[in-house]
Amino acid sequence: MFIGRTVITISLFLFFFQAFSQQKFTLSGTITDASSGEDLAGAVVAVQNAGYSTICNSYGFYSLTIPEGDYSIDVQFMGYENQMIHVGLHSSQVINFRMKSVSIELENVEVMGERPDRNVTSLEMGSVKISPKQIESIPVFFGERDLIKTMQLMPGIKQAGEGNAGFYVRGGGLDQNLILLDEAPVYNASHLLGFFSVFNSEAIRDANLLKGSIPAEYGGRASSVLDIRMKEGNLKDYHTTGNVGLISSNLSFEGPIREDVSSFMVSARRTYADLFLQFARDKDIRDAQLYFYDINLKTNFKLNESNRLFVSGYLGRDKFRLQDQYGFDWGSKTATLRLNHTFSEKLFSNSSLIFSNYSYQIDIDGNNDVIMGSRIQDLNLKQDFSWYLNAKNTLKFGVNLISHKIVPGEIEAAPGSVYSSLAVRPRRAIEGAWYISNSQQVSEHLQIYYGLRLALFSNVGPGDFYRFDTDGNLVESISYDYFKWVKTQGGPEPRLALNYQLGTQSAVKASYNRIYQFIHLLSNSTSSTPTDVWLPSSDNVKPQISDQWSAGYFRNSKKNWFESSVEIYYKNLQNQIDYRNGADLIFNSTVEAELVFGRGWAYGAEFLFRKNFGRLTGWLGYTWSKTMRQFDRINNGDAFPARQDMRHDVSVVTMYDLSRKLKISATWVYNTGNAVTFPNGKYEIDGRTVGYYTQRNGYRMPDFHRLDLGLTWIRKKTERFESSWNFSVYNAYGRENAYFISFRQSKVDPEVTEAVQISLFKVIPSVSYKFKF
Amino acid sequence: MSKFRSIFLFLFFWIVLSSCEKVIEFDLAGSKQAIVIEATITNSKLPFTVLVSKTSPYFGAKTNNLVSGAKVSVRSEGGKPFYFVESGPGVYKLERTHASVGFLYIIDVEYEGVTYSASSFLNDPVPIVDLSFSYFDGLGFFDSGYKVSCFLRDPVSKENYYRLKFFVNAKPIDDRGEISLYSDKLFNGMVVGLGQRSIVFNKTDTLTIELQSIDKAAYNYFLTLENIAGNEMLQTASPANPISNFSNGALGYFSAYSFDRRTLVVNDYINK
Repeated sequence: MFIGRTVITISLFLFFFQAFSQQKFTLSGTITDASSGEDLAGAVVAVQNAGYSTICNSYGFYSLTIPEGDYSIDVQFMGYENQMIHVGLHSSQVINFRMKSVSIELENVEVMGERPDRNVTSLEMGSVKISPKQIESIPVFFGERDLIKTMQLMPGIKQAGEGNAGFYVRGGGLDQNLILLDEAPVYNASHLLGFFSVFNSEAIRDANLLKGSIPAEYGGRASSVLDIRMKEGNLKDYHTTGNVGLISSNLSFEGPIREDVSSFMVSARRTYADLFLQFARDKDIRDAQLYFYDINLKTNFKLNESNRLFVSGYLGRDKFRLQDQYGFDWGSKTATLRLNHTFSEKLFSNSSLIFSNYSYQIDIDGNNDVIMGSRIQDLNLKQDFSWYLNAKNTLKFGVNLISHKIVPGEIEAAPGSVYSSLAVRPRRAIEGAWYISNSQQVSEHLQIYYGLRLALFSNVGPGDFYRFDTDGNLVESISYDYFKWVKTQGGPEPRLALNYQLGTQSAVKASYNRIYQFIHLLSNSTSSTPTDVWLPSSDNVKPQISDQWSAGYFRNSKKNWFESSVEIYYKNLQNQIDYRNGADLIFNSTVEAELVFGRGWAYGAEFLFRKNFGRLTGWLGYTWSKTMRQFDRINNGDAFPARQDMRHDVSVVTMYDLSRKLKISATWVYNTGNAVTFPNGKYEIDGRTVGYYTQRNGYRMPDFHRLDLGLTWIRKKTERFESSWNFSVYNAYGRENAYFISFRQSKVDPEVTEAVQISLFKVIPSVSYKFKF
Repeated sequence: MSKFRSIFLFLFFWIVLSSCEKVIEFDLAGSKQAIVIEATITNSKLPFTVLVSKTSPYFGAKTNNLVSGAKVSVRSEGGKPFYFVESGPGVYKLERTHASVGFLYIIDVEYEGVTYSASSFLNDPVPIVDLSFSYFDGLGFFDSGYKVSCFLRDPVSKENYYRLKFFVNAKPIDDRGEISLYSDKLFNGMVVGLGQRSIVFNKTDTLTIELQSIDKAAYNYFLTLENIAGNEMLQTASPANPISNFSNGALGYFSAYSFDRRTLVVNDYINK
């Protein structure tokens, strides 16, 4: 075993250095949209008849180092016309490509982005890419397009409750998804208690969800990465886009600040759910406020040929207020400052300074006498390098330092109030990561990726730290002062992947990754709620560690018109967190005493069949999976299914172009009900009937299924003005899916106990209007 | 505190969503029966009462499955035991005894060869210093009516836990499973008015307010009991049996408590 590993390591180095023996030159540059000037991340640059190719990074930069010679270079990006140029490569050259999008007459194909055979040729596996254009005609909930809800229709990604923007990836928890908006972590990605995600799809360029095979540049959450990039803004013309829906509207504006040099994009959205409250009989409810808004802003400047600056920001807030009774608001703020610098044709650098904040405030009595609140705030410094060493090796390395500040809870009481002011002391920590990786074309058929990330996390002063006995009683409390290092945890995270191509149409892939997670979400409700609190690792809370092995077979057929894949995975989770019975998670400085620790494991198989071109497009996904947890202090120490354990999960998504102006779509989902705890008996205490529980998650909710229908009518589509209507029906056949089931005494006869099912959404029609000029 | 989130959730669903509710058939597996003990002793002249029962199938007709033949005794720490008398099936009473504040009491229940024990500390009573009523307009799912603030002076020296019990015309009020519990974590040493979440009263009600001074174990028991027996919207994602202070896996609780009581007609108080 040991010898085998050494041989592999040595041979890798041989491949690595072999490249230096020939005279080589580098071709590099950017690839942009000819009409808007925006970067085309993911475009492919291929050298005809030579077997060299590369993919643009997310800033539209490419670099390819190949032997001296005359070449035909082919540039492809889906939805755009191919470009072919001839290059006599006798010195290193910079060539920028401007791609023309496929004209309207030809638009029989869906604009998908990416290379048509990427499914087979790239090292990626367990990844889902979605661009807003792609989901334009999918039926929507309350007229609001939502990236995350579309993601939830892919195998391996499960929705946290009906209509919820929270999601579980391959058996991981809700807090194990790293959600990045222009590199800034978003700590709470939902509005209105999860019925909408915070991502306004008009402001989004593309989104990429990694379920497995997570590259070394990402870390910090145990199960997945959702990397969302905002639009950059048109560098040539001004455009206004708007959507008017039943409960929300948005308006976006983009254009050049200086043509071809700098541009901006601003997009704003607000819901007006509270308009419906006017119909309520109750006066308090008529006067209530209930809405959210968000604003996305991005601007970029080409400082010169080798430097480009990006500034982007997000601000979103939910507000809920009942006149003089109760007020509640919450939301996120993020800001990102980025500098792209090209050191040379081979070395690309990205430096980022990132800010992220999530907070909530509760005004208990409606007149600001007592305000409770909590927040988490990050300041993040990131430096990434891509070194296009040669045609066969691309190295990436970098460093990331994050300063976390978590205020678990504070109460500000006005003088004379019945409550006293109280603050749980903030917790501070520094998270650091260093990584290096190489993706290497070993042979014509074999591509490998190997990387290592070192992730460390230190609690730092000022702050209070605690020691507990095994029953959770406080033994000792120690205060640390400024700049005192308390505890450092973490370790190395290997990341490996390989792709072996079988002919041109199919490939087998495999990957392994380990990830540490140092901050944890405390929530004992079934979905993410605004009052969820994040807790850092400490001397009492070990970091969560996930190890995931996955393998897959990928096949494209009929000239990449059809994509299919089967992936299997096994995930092992250490140091998972649950709570003691009756745990008080809010405003509790010794909340660590309320936690219990265990482990988890999940495995499954995901099948995906997808058709990307033609009048009929869409996909068929099926997941078989199992997700378990085991805690010594829960369920008598026996393993039990996690809440998100759903054996079968099916989704069918179809879109059909009836004509150039009319598109119809339908989605159908089915899944086994999630695991749930129900009573096995009853007894009477304190004059009330109480359920007797013997098993955690021993039961299943009824099966869930639902059909949604959509119709998009493009009223006008010219160079200068576009407009369309979208009609959707959510839950078209009115299935009463159980949102929850409660066991209780009958209201009619308290002697009788009954099971009552609550369903939320029956048939919900919606309509929205979109325009662009 | 976590209730604030739940109340918010509830209001949200109530306002925005046309949720629908129906009774369904659901198969629940049976389980081994467990023993349930409800034991209370006070510093008053009321008899001590212990109820011993067993769990029954969830959809069975009768909830209260009291059992005879248990041997029940109480003692103070280091003292000799006093034995209870079974006054009806499963109902065990000890009369003409009263407990003294400042002592730890231990209950032993022997049934079918197993002894279940629990202890509880009898705290000093905390008197009701004042009451005030205010009219609540109602809000969504919350009914309109009179709410009472029960004022007390919280002792500075230690952790205190309270339970408020309400009786209208001598009948206990159980409004949607609300158990009015308070810990002095947020008001240690202050004069404070304790209120209710959803319970409301009518003008004509003859109301009895009982302020119980309970120990931490009883507080934790009722808190975790409310998580599963209270309003379904307030229940936790992973229901579990309340934290009992009995040994050997018995369900239920033993609470030694002291109390102060006021009886009044709501209308008299409003017009005062």
